[in-house]
Amino acid sequence: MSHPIPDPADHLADDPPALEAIGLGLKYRRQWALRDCDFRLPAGRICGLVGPNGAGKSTLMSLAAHLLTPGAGEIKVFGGPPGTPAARRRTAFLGQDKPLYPRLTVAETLRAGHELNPGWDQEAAERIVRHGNLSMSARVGGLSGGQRTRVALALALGKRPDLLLLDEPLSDVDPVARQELTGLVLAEAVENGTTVLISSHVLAELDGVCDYVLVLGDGRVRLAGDVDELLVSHRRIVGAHEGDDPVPELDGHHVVEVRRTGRQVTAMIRPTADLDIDWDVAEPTLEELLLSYLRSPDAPALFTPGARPAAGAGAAR
Amino acid sequence: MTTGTLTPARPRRVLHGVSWVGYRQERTALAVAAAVLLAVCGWLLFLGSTISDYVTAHHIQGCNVVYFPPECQGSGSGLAEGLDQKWQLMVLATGWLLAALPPALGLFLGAPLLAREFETGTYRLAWTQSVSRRRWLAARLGIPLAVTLVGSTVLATVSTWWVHVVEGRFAVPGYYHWFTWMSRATSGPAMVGFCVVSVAIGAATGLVVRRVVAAMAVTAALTAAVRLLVDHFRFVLLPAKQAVAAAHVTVLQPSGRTPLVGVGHLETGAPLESYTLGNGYLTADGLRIPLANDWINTLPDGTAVCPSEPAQCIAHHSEIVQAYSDYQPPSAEWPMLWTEAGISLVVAAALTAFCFVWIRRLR
Repeated sequence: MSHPIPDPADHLADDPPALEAIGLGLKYRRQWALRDCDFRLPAGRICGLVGPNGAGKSTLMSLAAHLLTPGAGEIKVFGGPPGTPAARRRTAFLGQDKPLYPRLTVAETLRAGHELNPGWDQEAAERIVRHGNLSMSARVGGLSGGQRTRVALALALGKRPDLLLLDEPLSDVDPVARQELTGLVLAEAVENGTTVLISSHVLAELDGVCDYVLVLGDGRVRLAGDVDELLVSHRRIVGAHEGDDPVPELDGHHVVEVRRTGRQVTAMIRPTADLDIDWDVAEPTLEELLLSYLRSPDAPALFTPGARPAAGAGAAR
Repeated sequence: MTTGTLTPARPRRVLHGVSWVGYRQERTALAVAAAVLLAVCGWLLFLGSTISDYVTAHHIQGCNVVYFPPECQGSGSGLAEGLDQKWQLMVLATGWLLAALPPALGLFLGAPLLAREFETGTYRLAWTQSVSRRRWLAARLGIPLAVTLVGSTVLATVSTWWVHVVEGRFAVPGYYHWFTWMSRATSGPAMVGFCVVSVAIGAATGLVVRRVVAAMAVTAALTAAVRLLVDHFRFVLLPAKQAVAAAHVTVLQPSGRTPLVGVGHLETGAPLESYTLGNGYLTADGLRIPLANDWINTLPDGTAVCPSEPAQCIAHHSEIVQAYSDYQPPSAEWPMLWTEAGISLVVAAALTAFCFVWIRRLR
């Protein structure tokens, strides 16, 4: 089955979002790992999940994969709770440490995938493994980290999920394989209309891959929405200004971040009106935008239309 | 490896779906367990038939080294002692081996079963496939428990025969009678029950403790505790029988010149090979005076002498009319074994149910 890739503006379509969090929270002991989390990931999107260590990225993934249950609020997968048989079939999860059974061979691991998933696509799984020149009879325990990642990815994609959750999937893969595997995931996702939520520390890696982004900081949503809309609405401006006093040129705009090196001032802003200044103004790259938000934990959270749950959609518009 | 698709037309195998995964993960452990089972059964059959051949060849079937019966006097007793000396150590070691098998199953098959999944994080792989946690758990527990049930039944069949071959023929206290610990722990349904409950204890512990080595340690302690518990309640469904015989009791004269003939068992007429639970005297009013042991000093006319303790015996000696024994007759052997098995299986079922409740709560 395939899902039409929705138009970015079509966020109020009847299709339930692939992932939706409403007031979602989870406490470990006495510390909130995730708190008051509201966001919406429309189906068919490839969403980057970004945040510093301990921001709640893995917690969010585990909640979506039904490995954890929310302590507050709710999380929905295609409109329903993650624990239902249907949600279980439609969701695939690749954890940070890529757990696999070390004593099974690659072929047996894929067979386990077949035995445990009714919609299994053996051909797709084998294709991914074969691209890495992996022997089907090799024991998983003897594989390198990168090879294990490949097998784990084959297992996740062989399931033919509608929602693919990838938690730092390529952290131990060499640059060549990284590019190849990214391309593979993208191709599979586009071909099948799979929604992908992928977390990564390598921001450059997300550029050109993601059309949606979710930034978490300190267990809360900092930024969520369509990448193009976010980039269009932000400006990276560079100019000169003496001293440490406020920069008048920034007045009236939403300022995300201001950095000064000597006389030079670099700022990430969300202009509220036309920028009519003498500074160097450019649309930021995704990496620049994400870095600005990550470096300024006090900047107010921003959602593009449709990136908030239905109840809050009116307010977000 | 063929690369063809294995989609719809795949033949259905006996093990498919989550059961195949459960089987595949325990394949090595189950193969080792099966090899141990075969080796132990082979050894029991070999040693048992060697002993049995000796007994038949020398016509000492009725001989018993615990209490040489009359038919075992003379050369018979020499032959019986010869047999004892020949194989005593082997029989002792085999008894310990058999007694150690159920706890070993719990430690090496049961404890790592779920603990390893948590220790290596593979439970997250299993729980994010299309099957529910409950079906996964059913397969992970069901296969080892079913194999244990079948395997231990085979073992119990052989070991029951073995116990009957060696019982009472060797100076191995655990094998003196049907009720001594090696005999009752390693024969009949009790053996099956202990194997199954040990695996269940190991699995449930692993689910809670989540670390293999720690789970093994806790399993060892819990298995010992459950074994003691099961042992304690082995006669719970079997009311003890009481045998009584007339008795005349006196007390030692302060002069110390009472003509004692010696020491003998308190005679109550309980059948041979009974398991004595307690002895004592009864007064005409029905007062029970339990004795610390059944060794009694007697006078030449058969009158028993009250031991210095309990004081009750001395105080009431003139009113005592009967001696009694509370005992379990030899016919209680199989009901006892079934009771042990029953308690073990109930505990195993409760632990399995606990696993299903616990896994739902886990987050």
